[in-house]
Parts: sequence; structure tokens; C-alpha cells
Amino acid sequence: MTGNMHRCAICQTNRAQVIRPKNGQKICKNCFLEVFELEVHTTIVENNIFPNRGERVAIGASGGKDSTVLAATLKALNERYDYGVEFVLLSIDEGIHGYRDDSLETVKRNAGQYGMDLCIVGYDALYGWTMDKVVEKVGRKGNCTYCGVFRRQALDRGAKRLNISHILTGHNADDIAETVLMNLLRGDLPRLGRCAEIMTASLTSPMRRSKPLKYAYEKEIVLYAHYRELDYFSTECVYSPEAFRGNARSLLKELEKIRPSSVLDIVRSGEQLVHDMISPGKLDCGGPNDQCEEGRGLVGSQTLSNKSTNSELLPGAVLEASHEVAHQTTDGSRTQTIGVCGKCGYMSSQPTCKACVLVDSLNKTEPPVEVLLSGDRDFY
Amino acid sequence: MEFEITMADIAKLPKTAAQNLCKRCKLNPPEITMRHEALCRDCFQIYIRTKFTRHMEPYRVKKHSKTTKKLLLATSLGVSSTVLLDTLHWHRALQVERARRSEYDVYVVHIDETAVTGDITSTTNPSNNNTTTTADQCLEKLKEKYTQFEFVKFPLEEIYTISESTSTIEDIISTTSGLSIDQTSTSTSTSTSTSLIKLRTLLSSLNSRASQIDLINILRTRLIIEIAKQRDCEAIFFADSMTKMAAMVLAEVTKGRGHALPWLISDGPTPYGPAKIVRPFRELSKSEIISYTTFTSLWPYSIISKETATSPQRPPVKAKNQTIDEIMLKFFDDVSNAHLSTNVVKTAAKLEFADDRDRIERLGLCEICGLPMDEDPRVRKLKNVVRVDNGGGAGGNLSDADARIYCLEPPEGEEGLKERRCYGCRRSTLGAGKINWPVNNR
Repeated sequence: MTGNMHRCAICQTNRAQVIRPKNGQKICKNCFLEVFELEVHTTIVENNIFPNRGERVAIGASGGKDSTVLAATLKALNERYDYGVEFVLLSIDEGIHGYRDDSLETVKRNAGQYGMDLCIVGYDALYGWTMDKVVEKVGRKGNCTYCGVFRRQALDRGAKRLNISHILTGHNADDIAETVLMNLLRGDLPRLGRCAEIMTASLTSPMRRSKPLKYAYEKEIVLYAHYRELDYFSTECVYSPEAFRGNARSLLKELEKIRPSSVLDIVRSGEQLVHDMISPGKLDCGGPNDQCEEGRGLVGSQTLSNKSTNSELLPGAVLEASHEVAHQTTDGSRTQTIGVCGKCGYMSSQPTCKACVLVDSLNKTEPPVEVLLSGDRDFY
Repeated sequence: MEFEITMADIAKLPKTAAQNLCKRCKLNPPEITMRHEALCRDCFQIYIRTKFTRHMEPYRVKKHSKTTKKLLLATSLGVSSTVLLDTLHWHRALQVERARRSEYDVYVVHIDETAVTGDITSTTNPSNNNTTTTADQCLEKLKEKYTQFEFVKFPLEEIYTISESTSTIEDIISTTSGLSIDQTSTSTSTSTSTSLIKLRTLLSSLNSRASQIDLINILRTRLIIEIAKQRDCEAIFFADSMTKMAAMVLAEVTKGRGHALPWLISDGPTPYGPAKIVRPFRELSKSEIISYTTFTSLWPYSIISKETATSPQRPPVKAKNQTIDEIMLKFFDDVSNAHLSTNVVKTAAKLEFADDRDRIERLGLCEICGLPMDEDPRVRKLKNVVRVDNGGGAGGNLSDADARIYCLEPPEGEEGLKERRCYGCRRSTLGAGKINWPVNNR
């Protein structure tokens, strides 16, 4: 080998240290950090993620690698390119001992490191149940359904409390590719049509949700966190069974081995599957899939059964209405009627919102537990 | 009391009896459990044939039809292909028996790819000269068994000559009709060898075996379609099982061809030409077809041995050299995943893009795969949401970002590639430079 072996393909001066999975380019550490940030910036600009200057935006922060990298890059990019937005960290305390309590410590440190405000919303305070107690009651199977439904609402409530209407999540390209495969495997057509969307808004949530790391490989996120020496928490959720997603995940890993661009190619395919018949924002099946902040730990069969029980709960007229929504045209002349949950006052297409239905089912055989949902009502 | 019969006894009686007999005919002992039903081989055969016949509606004997329809059956000589051949033969024979004539003729086409894939056939028969390959032996056997059908073998490299002129194909057919299998004796052997060089150059310019097999698959389909065009075939029959189709769907999604899914898997007209695509086994699983092969003793008529088809372990391919298609087939071969194939195929079949109708006119066809072009997701979304007609100004910026985000920069001097080649084909030909592509869209 001569002296100029493996020079960085971009700057041509430094030694190449990184092989980019997207295109096999060998580049140096500095160019990698720059390219990574530039790609996130491009994603933000091209998708007009921050349309209004002066807006306060929440970053869903779990303390894990994805959300930590998201907060770090956004802070840097906001300073460099002057988006003119203010970021707030929003964390959910699911009440999982040995997992969330530790990761929340990380988030608290992050808040100091990035100079961002932090708001923590707890399941305990909102629903009267921690995930530890839920698991004690329902067992390990199916607990992710509860966690997902609760988290979606908790994030919304937290943001509302902060007077914020836009939440950023740390979903990366691998998460989205997995979800595309998963939705195909379990035949979930409506979700297939929107799982690759970068920005989602739905009728049952007043929030916009965006995924600025949508095109970032998990591998590169880990590498970025490593090079920037970011402070993150790397333990998996202690309850996560990952049965179905794990299946899609191992398939994706195998594909990535033979063609590293596969992850991105699946994301691209997923984007093409966004079809008008069920356009995002018009129909909300509100499954726990979108709600899982990290997007993992969901068992397919449970979602399905969960959905069916819910449609049984729907009065016939509502069912018909939602059926109509599915076939409406893009001009959006017809809209789904959204009411509020009779119990907690949260937005819902049904008389009782899904979270309350789940809380009720938990409380049923339990000696009456005081559900502290009323305290939230003034927010809506 | 010995005469007393309880309700429990009554409930027990027919059940125990039925357990030992086929659930449908209740005459023969069951030999296979299919979708929670124990069936005898006769009833299983009826089941398979019923599924098949459902797709044969347009080819039923009609009173006033004057011409005989021509159907092209594409065969890989694999298990499903052979079962489809056998089933078509049964269907046609039934027509002849009942109506004294048949509504259709079958033209069986096998595409020989061994020159570029270097398959087992050359290793089992090391001496190439004057030795017939296993594929040839298999074709001979099929010709003897199914005398009503016409069999032709085309080497894959024929794609370089077939689309040039119609006379070429007529030459090939006239010279091969007598001894269609022995292609070395054809007058086109010299042009074949130059075509083979062209094909090998094309494939060697690609960066992985995954890309090579992807383009070989495309070339095979396009050659079959060209042959169907030249022979005025009304429909092309593929023996794809549901399992195979599920693997196809996931493989194409993985290659970035999500936009083309409806065309890739649906039966009926194609953007390529007048011939319709029919996949009569799209509701049958691979394992059902394998069982059928055993029951009807069709194993000798396929180049896949029973051992290879039924053993879970595939011959080891170097992990890095696997193709996307192989990984997906393996995934659905796994018993624990087999049931998911129904979901995949049915979901993909339901996909319907509202902007499909004018997509071909708006964007044209991909020069490689011949399917409608895709569109930058952001341009497409913009159009759907805001309904902007002039994406012109923003389009320039977007294409730049597209290259940056997806890392699919066009090679030097090929700047317009994005308008001519779809995402998946750009990915498979990435870094190949200027390529000599044999087929044009018409």
C-alpha cells in the first residue's frame, strides 16, 4: 500500500475512517459529521419542517441514541442555519423501573448540555397506572399496546401543556424500513400508506409530528453519537418482546448485509406507497404503532385484536362515517367528525378515547383507583 | 343399559369416523392436511384444479369463437412450472374431450440463462460439447409427455437480437421448430455469440450479484414478452405461487420499486404490450404445489429434485453473494413465516395509486424495466396536497437534494438519467456507467 491509501473521498486529505452504508463512500470523521448534519438539514429544508420562525417545537426525548442525536444535531443546525425555532425536550415517564428512571437521568443531563427546557409527563399522574403496574396486571404479552396508546396521548398532553403544536421524534431510516416491511407482512394497508411519511397530522391529535432523522441510518446515528461523544442511555426497554418487529428487523439486517442501500430503498418504496385513497391526516386508526416513540416493541396480533374490539365499540353511524373517510378524495370536502372523549375530554372519534377504554379495562377488576384525568381537562 | 345412547355418544360417532376419512368426499383416507382440513389426494387435486380453473374463464370453449387463442406458458422447469404445464394439459384435454376442440393452443417457452448464471447444469455435465444439459433432458421428457404443446428454448442473450427485427425471430422459429432444443445448430449461432458477449459485458459492469440477478430477471421477463408479441400470443402464463409472489413483493420493495408494485404483481394488461399476464397459481402456496407434485408423480418432469424442494436447507451460497430475491424466498420458505405470504400478496394487490391513470403519459416508462416511472416523493406529495402544476422552479432544487439524500448521483455525462430510469433500476445499475441495453419500450 502506498502512502495515499484510503484517503477521504470528500476532502481527499484525511484518512478515511467511515464507510457510508448509503453509497459505500469511504470518508473521514470530520466529513462524516458534516455530511450527516447536512443531510438532516436538507431533510428539514426540503420538507419545510419548520415553516414558522419563533415557533417552539418539542423533541420527544427518551435519552436513547436517536433522540439524543436528534437534539444535538438540531441544536447545532438551528444555530448554523438559523431556523429561528426554540426546542424543548419532552419526555414520557412510563414508570418502568430500571429502564426509564435511569434514562430520564440522561435526559435531564441532556437538557443542561443543550440548554433546552425539559418537561416530563408521567403515566402515573395521567392514568393512575405505571407500566410496571400494567405489566403486573396484564402480563408481558400485550403490554406494548397499553404503552403505545398511553404514550401517544401523553406526548400530546405534554406538548399542549407547553403550548406547543409540533413534536419531533427520533425515528430513523431503519425504524421506518422495518415498519414498511412489518405493515406489508401483517397486511395493514392504511398504515402502509402513511408509515413512511415524514410529517403526520391526524384528526384525533392536534399535533404535527415530524421525523427529521427519517433518512439517517441507525449505524450512522450510533457513529455520530460516538464521534460527538454524546451522553446517551443504551438499554432496551425491559418489557420489549419485539416478536413481530424483531422478525422484520432480522430480515432487514440480512438485506443490509448484501446491499447496504436496502434500508434507504425500502424507505423510498414506502414513500411511493403513500396513495390518495387513504391520505394521511384524513383517517386515523390510531394504532399504537405510530405512538411508540421509538416505534418498536409492538406485537402485530395484539394490534389487530385491539383494533377489532374498538370497532365493535363504535356505533354503526360512526363506523359508516369512518368508512366514507377512507374513500374520500384529496380535496378534503368531507371530514370525519371528531368529538371529545366523554371521560377525559381528550380528542376522540369515539365516545370514549382509547386510553380511557384501556384504563377502564385495567380498573375493572381492581379496587377503585382514583384516575387523575380530570386535572387535565382545563387544557382542552 | 346397553341400549342407552347418550348425546355424547352421538356427538362422538361421526367425528371419530370422519377423522379417518377425507373431510370432503368422506370416502378415502386423508393424505394431506390443508388449511385445517384433512383431504384425500383426489379431493386435494380437485381443490388445486378449482383454484386454477377460476383463472381460465376467458379461455373456456365459446360457441362462436373462430380462432384458436395462443397462450404462452413461461417455464423455468421448476416444480410450479411443471405443475402448471400439467394442469393446463388436463384443462385443454378436457375441452377437446367435451367440445371436440380446444379454445387455445399452448406455446411453452423456456429461457436458458445458464450461459450467464453458470448453473448446476454445467457442473453436472462437465463436457459441454454434444452433451445435453439437465434442462434439455427435462424438456425432452416434457415433449414426450405433453404432445399437444409446442416447446421452445431461447437463450437469454436472444434479447439482443429479437427486438431488432421480426425476421430474426421467424428464422429462429423455423430453424428450431424441428429440433428446437439444439440451439447450436441454428443459423443464428454467430449472432448468438456476439449477443452473449454483449450480455456478459452488461452484467459484469454491475456492482453485485444482487444487481445482476435483478437485471437478469428483468431481461427474462422482457424476452418472454417480446416472444409473446412476435408469436401473437394473447396471454402469458406464469406459474408463480402465492409464496413466490410474496417474496417478489418484498424483494421489489427492497429494491426501491414500491411505485411499480401494482404492475409487478397484478394479472391483466401490462405497460409492455398487448399480451395479458395470468398467474393461475396465485392463490396456492408453494407447499401445496409440492404436495401436488408428489401426488401426481410429476417430480421426474422438473429440474428441481424432490430432495432440494422439500429440504429446508438450501445449497449454501456465500452470505454476501446472496441476492435480495433469494433472501426473500428463504424468508417465506421458513414455516413460521409461510402464513404471512397471504397478507403480503393481498395487501400489495389492494394498492391502488390514484395518480396511476395518467402516470404513464406524464412520466413515461423506465428504459430498463419498462414499467412506469416513479416520481420524487416530495414532488408527488406537493402535487397531491397543494395541487401545484408548475413544479418547475422547485424541481431543480429537489433533484439535487434527491441525489444527496438517496445518494443516487447520476454518473458523469448521464445527467438526465432520473427522467429515464426508475429508482430501482438506477440503484441496480449504479456505477455501471453507460450500458448497452437491448430492449426498447414501444
